[in-house]
Amino acid sequence: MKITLHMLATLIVVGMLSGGGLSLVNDWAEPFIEENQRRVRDEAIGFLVPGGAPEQAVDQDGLTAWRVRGEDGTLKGWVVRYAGTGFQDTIDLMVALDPDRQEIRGLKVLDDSETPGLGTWIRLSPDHQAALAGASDRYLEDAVGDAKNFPLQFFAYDEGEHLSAEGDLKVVKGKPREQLGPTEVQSITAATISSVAVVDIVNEAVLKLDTILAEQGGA
Amino acid sequence: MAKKQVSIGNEFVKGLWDQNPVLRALLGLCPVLAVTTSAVNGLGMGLATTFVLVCASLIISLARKLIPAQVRIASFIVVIATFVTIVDLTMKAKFPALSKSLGAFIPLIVVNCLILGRQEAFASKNNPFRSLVDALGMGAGFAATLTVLGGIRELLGNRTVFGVQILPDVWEPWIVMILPAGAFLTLGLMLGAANLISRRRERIAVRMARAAALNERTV
Amino acid sequence: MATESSKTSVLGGVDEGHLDLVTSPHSHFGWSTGRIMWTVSAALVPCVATAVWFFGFGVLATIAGAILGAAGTEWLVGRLNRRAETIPDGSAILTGLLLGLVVPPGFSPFMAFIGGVVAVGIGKIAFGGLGDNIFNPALVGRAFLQASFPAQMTDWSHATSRVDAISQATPLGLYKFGDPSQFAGDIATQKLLLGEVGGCIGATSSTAILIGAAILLITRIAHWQIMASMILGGLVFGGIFHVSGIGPSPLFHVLAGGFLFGAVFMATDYVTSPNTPVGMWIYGGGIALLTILIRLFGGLPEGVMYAILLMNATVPLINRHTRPALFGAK
Repeated sequence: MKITLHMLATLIVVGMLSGGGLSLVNDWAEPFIEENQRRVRDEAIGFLVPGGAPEQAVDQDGLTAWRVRGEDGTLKGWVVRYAGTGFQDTIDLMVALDPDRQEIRGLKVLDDSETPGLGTWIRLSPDHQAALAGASDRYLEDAVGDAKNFPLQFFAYDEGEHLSAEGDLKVVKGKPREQLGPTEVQSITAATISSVAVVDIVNEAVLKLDTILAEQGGA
Repeated sequence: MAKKQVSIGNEFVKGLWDQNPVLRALLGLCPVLAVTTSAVNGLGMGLATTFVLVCASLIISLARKLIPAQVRIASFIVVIATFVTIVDLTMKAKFPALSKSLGAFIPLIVVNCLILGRQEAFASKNNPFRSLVDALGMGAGFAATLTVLGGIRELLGNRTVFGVQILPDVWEPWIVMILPAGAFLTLGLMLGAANLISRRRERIAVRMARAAALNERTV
Repeated sequence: MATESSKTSVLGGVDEGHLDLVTSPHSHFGWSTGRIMWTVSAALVPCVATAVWFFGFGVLATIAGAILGAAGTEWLVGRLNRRAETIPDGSAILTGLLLGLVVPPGFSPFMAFIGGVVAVGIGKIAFGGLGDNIFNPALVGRAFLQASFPAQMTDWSHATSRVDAISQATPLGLYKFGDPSQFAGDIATQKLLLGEVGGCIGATSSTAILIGAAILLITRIAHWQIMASMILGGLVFGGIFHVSGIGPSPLFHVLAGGFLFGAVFMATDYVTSPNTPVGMWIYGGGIALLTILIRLFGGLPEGVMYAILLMNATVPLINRHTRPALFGAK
């Protein structure tokens, strides 16, 4: 009997000390964690549609969308966040659209578990980000043709030409850049599945945003 | 068994080589294989584990006479889990990038048999100072091994160590090294090398002992 | 057992004053390891020749890189371990040659060299040397290359010369990711037989591989059961899926990709294949089934390599369960 009480008391004390300690740490850490997540999100939106303030427009069925407005209140574009299945695990990404949602203006993969050195080319590298930030029209002529620069196609696949957001995008292989159309995306060499996964997620995100906005009754 | 008192210095040093948790005891191999895709990840994981190990060892050895044997494992686990959660929250708050790349393996430190093993085998039987030194030694051995493993994989798989490019651009990265297969290959080769070295040391020790015995006789 | 008179002829050889003990069976059919390895290498000559014809002399550099890596590692480790010279038995050179033939044309010789080092170093020596390796060393090297340099290992565009533009993608690749209709009908079969398609250096020409197979069978080096069971298995399993509306024709399965090359030169490796006739049938059939499952339902267009490596792992089990009962034993 005595030993049972001792056991119970030990576990209760250990549990209480542990719980109390954890709640203190949690109170301290939580604001930082939220701040980190918000910063990642805002930086991505700011990168995709620069020079505006995001305002959340949609948050349902796993899809989040923001209107980005400039200082004078004009609509500068849309950013849609959506996730879907990749080659391994989920790909979480953001797509930028023009104000009329007819063209795709950018793509940023936020989280993925694709194969290093292959599927991971779906990510924007630091070089890409620096180059895009510096380019006024977001078109990097030399870079777009290379399969390792897969995400750049979503910014502009040809001079002044953006991918269309009005029909489903298709993945093509080995086509020269001059022959690519506004719904064609060049696949990453040896990572076709990852490329297709990204394009599918983009297609679904754009379609879903249209449906949701139509239901809400305002586009 | 007559207890042979080991010097404090040896209590620390044994974790580095003779009882190295990874290379000699093969403990905690799951994080060893999973997160060592780069030297930074290896070091981060090693330090996080060391922190948990040191804190848990200190608490457990302080409370070793208060915890009844019947509930010792449960109490150990609660203590360990508390510190793991603290590490997890702290990393999420202050080192979001590292926390993201280590992913689920930080919470999984709680099931690392190295930590529970040291509580059961050492901290619950020794005074706090000795336990602290033992935990520091074991943690240092674990962290050093993970860093080396991560460093080798990062060097061959990404040309860099701690993010600094070492190999020239003409060196085509061996992607397999940052895949799980590379973890097994590298760890296997490291274990082989460790066995070679310790066998050689044993042989030298035997030879020295023989020479000493011979000396005694002749003198 | 180790009598003075038998020590050189049956038990291997006297090496630096100590006697090598070798477990039974001690019967010898008159062929040394070296002679077998060199005959297999000779059987590969038609494959090398067609490769040079279709893809140009560049392929020889790739093959040389692989051989250099494999044989160099064998030599270096032999030196470090102070073992007897094992280069003349040709096994390391053969490993390198096989590896060199199963990478794409235009593959960097340096990468092939790395593959050769891994094939012999990790695929063979780490397991204890020739005879103790569980997995086919050349395929271990190839698996390493596939995982290390996936883009280069699936880049068929350097197939200059006689291979036309359409077939620069491999037939299996076209089937999986592209337009299968580009590869249909009799022309396809004819091209596959000749080898005028995209693919690994030595694995495209079915005719050259079959000549090699004939050499191996006439000299009775390779066991016909393994080749027969694998090809038959490919036809049967491929046929079953084809009839159920999944996948290409069984003939395409057998002729395309590395199926024939695997059946003739990779699966028949003595060390990593079963040593009972029943076991050989199970082994060959298993490779064929796994290959077709990977091709049809896996993420990759080709599966021969992983199928053989997986079945290699089952060989001890197959041997144990197909061993004929000892005479008089229950």
